[in-house]
Amino acid sequence: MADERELTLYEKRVDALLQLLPRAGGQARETFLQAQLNLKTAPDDAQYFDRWLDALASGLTADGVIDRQDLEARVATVRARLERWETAE
Amino acid sequence: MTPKFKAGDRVVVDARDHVGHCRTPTYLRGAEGRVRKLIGIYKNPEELAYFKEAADYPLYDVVFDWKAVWGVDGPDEVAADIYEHWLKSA
Amino acid sequence: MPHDGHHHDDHAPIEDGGEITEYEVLEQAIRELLIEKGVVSADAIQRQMDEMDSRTPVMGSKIIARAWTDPAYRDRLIGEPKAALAEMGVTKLDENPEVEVVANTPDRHHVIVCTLCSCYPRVILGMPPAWYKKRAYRSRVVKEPRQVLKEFGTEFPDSVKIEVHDSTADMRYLVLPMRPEGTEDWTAEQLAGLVTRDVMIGVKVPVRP
Repeated sequence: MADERELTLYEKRVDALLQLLPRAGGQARETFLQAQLNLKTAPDDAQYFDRWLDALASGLTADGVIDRQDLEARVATVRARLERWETAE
Repeated sequence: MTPKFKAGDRVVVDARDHVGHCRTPTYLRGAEGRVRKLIGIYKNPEELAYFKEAADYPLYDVVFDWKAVWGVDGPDEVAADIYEHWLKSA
Repeated sequence: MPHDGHHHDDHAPIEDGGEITEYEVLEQAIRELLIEKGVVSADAIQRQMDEMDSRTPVMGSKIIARAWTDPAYRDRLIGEPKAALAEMGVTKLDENPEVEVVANTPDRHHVIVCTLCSCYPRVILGMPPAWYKKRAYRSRVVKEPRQVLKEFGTEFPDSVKIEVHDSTADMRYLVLPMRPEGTEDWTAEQLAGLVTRDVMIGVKVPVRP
């Protein structure tokens, strides 16, 4: 049982959201708890954080915490920004 | 909310199926245990997602003999924190 | 160029090296929108991450070593853990699930698990180790604790009862191990060196080198 590894920065960021959302109150908290109820994943699942993120993305948009179009637009912006950065390297 | 059980009471964990997220592990359902102490009064996490004001539930530290959980004799014990609505008198 | 090679602005790549994944993009998009909506603050996220990085078993080791050398503190740690932990500088206890300290005795050994997910005394020990989150540990330690402990090199005679704590609700458990024999003249600082993370989870016992 010695397979230790540090969480990646991505995983740490998702983990931070998972710690903060239930304390956020309001609809975001409700959405978080509902996502937790529906989620079919366990912490030893390699896709654990990805599945959580999918559940949050659909829950937060369905419940109107964030707008679906806003999210799609932001995903495109972030992707473009990161790609630009990569090519600049 | 007055707690129904006290330290030393024999209790049985409800064996009902529960759909969705739930904080009572399957392997303890139907097992008889002993209330060691009342931990406190908490919001039931099973309800938080459905009701704006979740009800308060007493939470107990319950200890189980090996045989009560696994059906075979053993020197060891399992302890778990269980909400009152999952417990009935043995 | 907006990016001149320094790595500290908000728009820096998420991982050093490797391809950017769609999930990393999605995480960043969700995070930015939640911040703009005021659901969470950038500051709170950063603090949460810093906190998880800074909370390490070292704090737990100090707490256990003090309990070994200060009987009044030991009583407080078991009886009023919140106050006793605050006394040792554990912050944000109110924002975290309550911690309960379970003390090993010559005839009872405690071991901690969360069979449903990976609840863990993060406020003291930080992130759980990878094995703690694995089904192999979570499902087996409640069923064959002696076999699992043996795999960690820990064995007890049948006269020692093993109590497996399943962290199913609002409590997080921390094991207060027994002080090893032959350490009577050790300082708290020396003793803290014997208290590893695994010892505070209960899969190992502290041993004098």
